[in-house]
Amino acid sequence: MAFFIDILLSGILQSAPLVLATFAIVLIFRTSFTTNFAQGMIGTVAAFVTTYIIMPAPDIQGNVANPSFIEYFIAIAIGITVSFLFSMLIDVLIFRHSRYLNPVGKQIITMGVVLIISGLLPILFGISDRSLPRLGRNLESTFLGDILASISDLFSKVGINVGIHVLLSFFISFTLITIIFIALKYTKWGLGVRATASNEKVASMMGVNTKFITAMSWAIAGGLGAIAAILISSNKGTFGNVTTYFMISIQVQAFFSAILGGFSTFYGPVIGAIIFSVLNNVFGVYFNPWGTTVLYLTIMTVVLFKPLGLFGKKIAKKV
Amino acid sequence: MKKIMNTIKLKLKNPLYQFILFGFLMILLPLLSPFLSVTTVDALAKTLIYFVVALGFSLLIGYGGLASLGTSSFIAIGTFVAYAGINEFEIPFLVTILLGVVIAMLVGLIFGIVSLRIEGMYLAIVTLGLSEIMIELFKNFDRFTGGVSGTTSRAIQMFGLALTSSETLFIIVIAVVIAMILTYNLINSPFGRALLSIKNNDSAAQAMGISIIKYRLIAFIVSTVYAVTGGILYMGYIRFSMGSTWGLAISLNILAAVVVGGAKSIWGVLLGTFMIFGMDLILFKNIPFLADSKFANLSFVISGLLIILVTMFYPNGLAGLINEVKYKIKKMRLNKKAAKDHE
Repeated sequence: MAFFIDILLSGILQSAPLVLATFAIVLIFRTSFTTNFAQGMIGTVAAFVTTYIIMPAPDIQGNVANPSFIEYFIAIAIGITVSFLFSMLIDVLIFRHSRYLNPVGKQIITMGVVLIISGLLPILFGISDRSLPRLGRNLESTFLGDILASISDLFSKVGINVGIHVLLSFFISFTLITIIFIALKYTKWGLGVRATASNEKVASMMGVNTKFITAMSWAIAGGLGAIAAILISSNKGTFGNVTTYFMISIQVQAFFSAILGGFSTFYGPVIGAIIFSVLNNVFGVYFNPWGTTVLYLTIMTVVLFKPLGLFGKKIAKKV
Repeated sequence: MKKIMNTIKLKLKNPLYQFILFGFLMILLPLLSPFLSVTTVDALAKTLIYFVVALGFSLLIGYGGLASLGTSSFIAIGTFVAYAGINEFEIPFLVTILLGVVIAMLVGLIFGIVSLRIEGMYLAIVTLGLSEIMIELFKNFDRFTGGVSGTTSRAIQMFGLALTSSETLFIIVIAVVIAMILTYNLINSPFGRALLSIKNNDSAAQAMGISIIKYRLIAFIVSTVYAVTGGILYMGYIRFSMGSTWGLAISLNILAAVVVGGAKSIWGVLLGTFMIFGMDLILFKNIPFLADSKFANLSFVISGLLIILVTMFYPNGLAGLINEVKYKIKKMRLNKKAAKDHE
């Protein structure tokens, strides 16, 4: 039983980056009516920019950079900003002008963006492996570090091993998601997003600046993707954890979480991501090495019976 | 003599004869191979194989209005089926192809049903998941896939002979011509028209009594069959396959080839395939400045840009553009003629 609780709790804690990635995909799905395949790649750009700032030329011996907390924080902030702006640029330059394309056409455009980024990354950052250090390394004697360490101790007393990095990424993601849900409910941007999601044309007629709303949604999704990418790549803390395609598998997981939760609500995919992460842990133990495969097949079976996902709502369409 | 030329010209208006003529031209390729470098012939053969795959994909994207990201996994399945057929079970090559087709149909059916039941656009997501599953599968099934290091196959045995690579090229050319004729017939059958009507307006098509899921599923299965056949041909010619090479990049490049060339035209797909896959081999490998390994994926950037530009501005691709130019020239001529007559 303790073992099972361990898996369950660590699954929930580890779900944090996946929740961010999933929410980013759903945000774009709701405002631009397509699934963004470039989401992972936009996050990868942020991870590359961050590694470049803390270590311009990767170490040949395979050492991970060792920046101070402030340096690392600034580097991450710059990385996230780059992704934020880049994602906004994609909307302003491409999607603003192809609003009336069908969803599959838009999907194809995002696939084109994937190709462009995956070709550009080695040209801009070189072909050697890059790496990000763990987040909570230099926090030992600081206030934040003490709090995290005591929480980690608390968990280990119950018999659950949770690292500081996982805790930190959980708190960051949890705070961000909470802020975004509050913003969706109470701010003008949130109202605009909800209006655009329900009907773009009517929303723009009612005076909602849909162009701004979509651009901001893309930018926020890019920022969230960037945070997810940085949290996930730095989780291992080993050399070579930032590669061109490292976000692809995470992105697939995010897509499947969103399908499981249903694309038609904002909270559904978030719960879907948490369920995905927990099940991934459980299946990883019982079906090793086929854990993820069994999980994907399970989700597909669930979707076969509930095509709109666990929390999806049926949207009636007029001919 | 003139009469013969005229009949030939008339016959060549029929696309089927055009395809066969193209096949004859391609068969000259093995004869030319002593004069070309080995890499060029290999590249051409690879491009022809990818053309078969792209034809299936064009049916899916141009007529079904669906995008898939599992193409490279299906090619990989084909290569490993070919490996198992040639080396492990030692069954005849044509039976291997049949086996591959059956496997392709099964996999296509399972993944197609689930994704198409939700909505057309989910196919890309589910097939992306499929490719993730396949990467894991290829790693762990090392009897047939060689795990991480890949497998090397023997030559194809046909009629009791081991075929050399230039003889295999003949088989590839025959397969290409068959694929072209098959695609042409599929497009111009009730099946193709039903698909097109679904692509243009699915609600209206449904109202006319066309089952959306059925036709889309068949289109997806046909495209997987093409891809698996492409994989079998690949193993027959290249004789080496490694699970990890069949990643997202190849699926996206095939998508680029189809979209850029024009998904609704067989010749457009050919043009697109030669552009996307030939660009890398012919253009960039010969420019010293771009020989640095960090520019290895420069062609990705260009194909990505082309995808975006073509989807935004020329949905019919290069083939559509060429047709437009032709039409404009014709119109100009007619205008001139009319002006002359007026005088």
